[in-house]
Amino acid sequence: MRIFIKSLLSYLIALTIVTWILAPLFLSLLSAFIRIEYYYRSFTIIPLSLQAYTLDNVKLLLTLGAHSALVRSLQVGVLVVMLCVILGVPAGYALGRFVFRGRDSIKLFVLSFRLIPVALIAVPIAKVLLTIGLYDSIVGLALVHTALALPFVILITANVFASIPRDLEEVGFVFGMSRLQVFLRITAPLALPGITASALFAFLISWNEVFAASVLTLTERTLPAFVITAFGGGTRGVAPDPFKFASILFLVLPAILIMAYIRKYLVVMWGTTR
Amino acid sequence: MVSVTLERVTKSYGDVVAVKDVSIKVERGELLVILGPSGCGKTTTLRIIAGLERPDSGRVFFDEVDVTEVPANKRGVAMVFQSYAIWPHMIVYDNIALPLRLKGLRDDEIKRRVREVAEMLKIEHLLSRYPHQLSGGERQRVAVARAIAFNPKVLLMDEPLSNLDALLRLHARAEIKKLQRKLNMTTIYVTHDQIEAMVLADRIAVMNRGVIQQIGSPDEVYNKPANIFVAEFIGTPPMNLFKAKVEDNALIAGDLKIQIPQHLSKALGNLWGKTVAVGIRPEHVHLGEKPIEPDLVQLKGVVELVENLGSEEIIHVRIGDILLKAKHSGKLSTKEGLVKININIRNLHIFDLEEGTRIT
Repeated sequence: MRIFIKSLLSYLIALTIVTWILAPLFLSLLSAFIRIEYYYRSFTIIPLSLQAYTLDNVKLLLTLGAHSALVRSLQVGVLVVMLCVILGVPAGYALGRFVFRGRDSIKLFVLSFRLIPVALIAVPIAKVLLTIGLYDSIVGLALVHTALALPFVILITANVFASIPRDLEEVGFVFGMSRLQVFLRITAPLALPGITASALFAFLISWNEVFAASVLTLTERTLPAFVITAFGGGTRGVAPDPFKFASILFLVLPAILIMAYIRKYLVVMWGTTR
Repeated sequence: MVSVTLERVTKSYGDVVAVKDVSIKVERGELLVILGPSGCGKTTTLRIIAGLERPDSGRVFFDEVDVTEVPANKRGVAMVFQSYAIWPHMIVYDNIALPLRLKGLRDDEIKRRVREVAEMLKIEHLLSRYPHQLSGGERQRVAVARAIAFNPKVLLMDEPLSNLDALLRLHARAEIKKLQRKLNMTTIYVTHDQIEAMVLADRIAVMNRGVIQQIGSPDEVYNKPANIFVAEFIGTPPMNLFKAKVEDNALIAGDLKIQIPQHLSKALGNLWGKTVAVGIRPEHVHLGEKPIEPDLVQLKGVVELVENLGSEEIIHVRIGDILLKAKHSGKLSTKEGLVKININIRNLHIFDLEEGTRIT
């Protein structure tokens, strides 16, 4: 009986948390498809007739240029992932595998870059990008997003490499492998899931980032920046709500899909299992 | 297969000397066990032989060839780790086959060898499984199979049984012994378990604080321990040790007095008036009535505790300040009170108290 009440209680708590998160999300996504006249009717939250639903909101967003913003977001994201993996994985390997003087200080130092608010340095960065001719460009924005995501990639992959037992590498060395073979045949395959997860995490950081994207681009807007200027700040929030919800749909869906994939690695990444 | 020689090998980490001036020669086909408590440098010694650590000074030879500077992947040794170190992302077959592929063997040869060792270790049915699907004992056998299939110059084993439960360990111990006899492979085996060492070894090297204390056959190490450390470390329950003064041609420790026999008086002659450590193994302390014979000393003690182990008993008896443990097979008639203690003087071990070294 006691056990029953205990499990009932934990289910209730879980249900509350899930509702807390999912109910607004569900309403937002649903509202993306509601006709404006139905949306603003009094005493209706979820209209029940089928005629209330339409794809027009999404279509309008596309005619305004959401699809090219989406493509740009993807391009920036892919660039960020590539840069983060190229720069972050070797750094993570060094931090995770070797014991050297000042290792912990370097870890802290890497993370400390995130202590500076982007808003504070956005203008200086814009100035630098203007000088080197990368302002309002995909590459310029990707560089800034890489700076934001790289600390996480380094720390996550450091944890991933540290969690691979040394014995597995040493035994390979004893059985005749060169250092490169040990890395390619043992370390890399074992680290790959974790590296993938950290790369997707970097992609998400870039995908969701709105401030730098708004400040550092004018025409080459990524999706979040596009949405903000089209329906948020740019028109002082006068756009009808269903349009805003339609843009939320664009923003949130990829993030949810990626999160669903990397969920199982997140635990390992942050080292909570050991 | 080669012989292995360590010549005055020293290795330290910062201020800590892990291995100090160690010299060992392991003959071809011999099984040498390095025995010692944790942190005594035995694993470091093994890793130096494997090439995973570089000694600060000293040389390592395989036969007559100096391999001190040869990296691990060029030495042709195999190692069974305490953690087994089976690659988790490969099936058992690939775990055993990968080192052979790196050697450049032909596919059919690899297949033949994997089958052969799998049969030897009774893991044929596990070849297509992933390590996480195996039990601890099965993983241990896979690790041994991988090492044997490699046909190494030297087989190194680092506490391969310490992660198994007690019953399985007994079984695996016997299996390893049989396998090594059959393959006649030069083997160096590291353990902290003295019984494992006694059972497996052709010779035992006892180590403590980075220094080899004694190298010898199990019988030598057991019957003639070179110093107090070896005497205490080997044997269950451990050897009884007490301080005694050499006086009036006798060893005196409180109420206990043992006349020094003819054959010992010479060795103890120059220790008159000094204190020595006297040792006697529990199985050499006989309780109850015994016919008088030469060299037999009879004493009286009080039974303090009887530990019943089923087939035998460990009996704690007190003689004044000295507590002796006696191993008694069968049941003792008196469970308390006075008891007769018989000690054969030939079974006494006498050590220098300061140096710890054996006198006789």
